[in-house]
Amino acid sequence: MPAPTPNPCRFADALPSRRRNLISLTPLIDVVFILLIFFMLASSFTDWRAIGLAQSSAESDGEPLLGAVLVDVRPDSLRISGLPVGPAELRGRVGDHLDRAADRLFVVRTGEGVSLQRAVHVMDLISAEGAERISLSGLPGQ
Amino acid sequence: MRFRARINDAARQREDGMLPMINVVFLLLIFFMLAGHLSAIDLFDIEATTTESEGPAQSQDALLLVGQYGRLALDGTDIPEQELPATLKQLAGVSPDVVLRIKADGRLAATRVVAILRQVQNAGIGSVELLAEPGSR
Repeated sequence: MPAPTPNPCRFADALPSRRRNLISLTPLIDVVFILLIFFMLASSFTDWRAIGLAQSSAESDGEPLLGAVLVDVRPDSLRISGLPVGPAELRGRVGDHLDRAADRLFVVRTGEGVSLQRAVHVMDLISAEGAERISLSGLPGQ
Repeated sequence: MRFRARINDAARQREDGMLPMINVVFLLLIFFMLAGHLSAIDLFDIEATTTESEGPAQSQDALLLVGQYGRLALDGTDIPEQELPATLKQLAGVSPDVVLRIKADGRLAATRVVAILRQVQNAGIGSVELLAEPGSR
């Protein structure tokens, strides 16, 4: 004949029922639910990324930027140092520039009609090659 | 007395039945407390720029919000466009090492952001970060 298994609730059953009833679970659940709803509504799960912008200090003074590579962003085309390129070729040329000088400054110059999203996309292409100094600039007089 | 004891038993059984639910609710609560982070709600809706690169945002300094039509807000306060240079100068005066985070709408003209960057530079703020959501275009 198998030995009787101990009842896990035996200790709880041994407690006087008056003591068990002192704290009711209902208010606790209320509070926990309110906390849960608060945290569900107030929490944000967006993982923001920061794109560091190098400031081309000479830009406002009108001085030339020595050694910087100019990337022109237009609504339908891209130019690097004046040469029209596609996105893949842009990455290749950026890589070539970085091979020669790893801390090269890239100035992304946006023209009229270019959205910020497109400019950031071009900056993504440049930083994907390992460029660390990227600056955002506009055409003179804008 | 026996009737009262029977009511107590029924109440206890009902509460015991709720225990698994309370466990789940507690787990959810702990998850939301640990996994999410509390932050102030933006003053107006923006469709944030998306990026495929770069690391997570580090600083928790000043935040400049730029809406689709150029509406501006600095740290949750609406600021008229003409008051932006004065506000930025004041910010740079209070904390010279401030890192200004700019959260701009992706549909905004890039030239508008460049104009704001120029004002930030003229105000003497040295570091600027452009905030973007991860994801492809």
